[in-house]
This record gives sequence, C-alpha cells and structure tokens, in this order.
Amino acid sequence: MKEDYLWDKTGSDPAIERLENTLRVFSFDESSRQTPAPAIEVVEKPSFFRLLSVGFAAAAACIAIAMISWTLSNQFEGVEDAAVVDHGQATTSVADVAVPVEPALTKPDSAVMEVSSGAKRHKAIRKRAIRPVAITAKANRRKPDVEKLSKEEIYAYNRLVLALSITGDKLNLVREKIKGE
Amino acid sequence: MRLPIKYLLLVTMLLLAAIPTLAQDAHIRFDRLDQLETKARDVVEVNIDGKLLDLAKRVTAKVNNPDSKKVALAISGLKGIYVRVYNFQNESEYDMADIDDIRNQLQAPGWERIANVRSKRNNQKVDVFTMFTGDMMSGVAVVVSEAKSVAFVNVIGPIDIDLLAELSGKMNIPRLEIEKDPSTTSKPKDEKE
Repeated sequence: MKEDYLWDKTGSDPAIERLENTLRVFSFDESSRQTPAPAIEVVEKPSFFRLLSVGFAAAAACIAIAMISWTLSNQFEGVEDAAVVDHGQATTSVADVAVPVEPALTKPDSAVMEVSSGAKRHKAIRKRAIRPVAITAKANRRKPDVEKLSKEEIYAYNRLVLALSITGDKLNLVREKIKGE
Repeated sequence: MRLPIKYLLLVTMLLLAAIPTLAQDAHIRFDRLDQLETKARDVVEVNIDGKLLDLAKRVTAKVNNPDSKKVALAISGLKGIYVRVYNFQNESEYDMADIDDIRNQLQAPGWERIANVRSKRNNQKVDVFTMFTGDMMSGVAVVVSEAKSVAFVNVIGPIDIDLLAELSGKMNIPRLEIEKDPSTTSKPKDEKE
C-alpha cells in the first residue's frame, strides 16, 4: 500500500480506491443535511392522585388547626351574663332565693345602723355596747365573714351559687328517689 | 417522589382521626331550645365559665365557712356550668321532641347514663349522665322533665356530685323548690335572711 495516496491522494492505489468506492455510499452528504429536530421538553405533569393527596392534606391541616383554635377559644371565652327571663307572672323563687346571698357578702346590718335623733343614736350605741357579742354572733351565723368584695365578685359568686343550687336540687331528686323518700 | 405522598396520606389520615377527638367535649348545646323558651312561663338561664367562674371560685374560697370550703373544694376543677330551667303554666305544654335534641347529644359516644329515675307523680323523669376522659370525670349532665317544668344542667369538669347534693339546702346554697305540687310542698329549711 502506498502511503502517498492515503496521505494526499497522489499516485494511485487500486486497493484503496476499490475500498473508497465501496464505502462511498456511507459518506456524509452536506447538501442533504437536515436541521436536527427541535428538542422536546418533557414536562412531567403531576399525577391526579398526587395533587389530590396534597390538597387533601392541606385541607385536613387547616381543619385541624381551626378546630384546635376554636376549642381553645371556647375554653377561655368570656362569660355570658346569667339572665332570668320572666314571662308574664314572674314568681320564680330562684330570684328570690338568690337575693339573700347578696346581703351575706356585705357588712352586717348592726354595723350600719343609722339613727336620726341623738336619743335614738345613744340608745342604738348602748345596744351595740351591751350586746355586741350576740349581734356579732348572729351576724356571723347569717353572713359569712369575707373580705371586701367587688361588685363583680359578688355577682360571680351569686351566679355560681344559683347554678350550684339548681344543680344540687336536681341531683337531690335522684338521691331522694334512691333513698325511697 | 412516591415516598412523600405516602407520608402525606398518613399525616392526613392521622389529622382526620384527631378531629373527632378534639370535637368531643362535655359541653351540651342548648341552642335549639327556642321552642321551649317561647312556650315557657318563666325561664332560668345561667352560664358560668371562663373568667367569671374563676372569679366565683376565688370568692368561694375566701368565704370563711366550712360548707363553703367544701364547695370550693368540690368545684376546684370545674370549667363551666350551664343551667336551663323552663317552667310552664299548664301540664304537658311542651313537646318531648323539644327535649330530644338534648337527649340525642347525650347519646353521643362518651356519655354514660348513671341514673335513671321515673316517677308517675308529676310525670317526672330524671336522667343523670357523666362523661369520663380516662379516669377523670370531664362532664355531668342532668335532664329533668316533669309535667310543668323541664330542667337541664351541664357541668364541665370534675365535680363531686354527692357533695353537691348534700350541700344543697345548707350554707347559702338554699334548697330550691321551683315547681312542686302544692299538696306535697313542705316548707323549705333554707336560711333566709
């Protein structure tokens, strides 16, 4: 094989020429070159179930958060006023019974006795001086000894006592039935 | 990316399972008692919870009285107390369907009926329900229906029922006789001022 023909095609080499002719079919034809096909971007669409599960999870999380905050807000909610509504004849003994509680939380009557004339005042003071123990004991029996209470505290206590009294009364019904009264 | 989806589904299911647990509480809804309110002659409505209850507990603890101390102890864990009493002019003036909403709520899981009293006198029916969360009492409900009155009591939180019934009529918790047959009414022994 002559290397010159292979190098710069000078001279002739029948074997190589024959080889070239055979392989010419596979040579690159610049004229028939085609631009490559545009690259197709494959966008992977999220599957329906994936979307559904994400949405489901988000909705459940929102519902759970709302429930938790609602439950917590209910626990620390402000108070509704206790109301006694009378229709027509208001003879609810509840209101009447609740009233005695209020004086129990104020000063005893004996301590705030007011008199108009000097003689009456003197008599009242003498009464208080003579029988302070008896009056105080009676006052203590009727009215529990409490510190100064604000209006709100008195109101709250009254309402609580009212509620507990009704509850206790109803529970007593069961107790009495069980005891056979 | 398949692994996170499984976790998401698991978390979702756990959250959904937790929601009923959060919703279940001992609070009875009295919203649908409008019918009773319109028919009743008089209505007693007491709602104590939140700050008012805390205030009342503090006052009860301050009162220097042995019974009051017992009450303060009995209600120390209380979270709320709701009372509705409806008194009617005539017998059978209300429909049992009006009370069914409350009874249905008490059929929900968690509530257990511990007492059931029926009396033909005054057509009286008393039901006492309790709800427990673990070993702790989380609520009490009492439903009393008579010929001329209906009463609902809902207590949220642990409370000593026996002590409360025992203390009724003592201290400044007077025994109430809102509606009783005049022929059987006895003079109350409460301390009136």
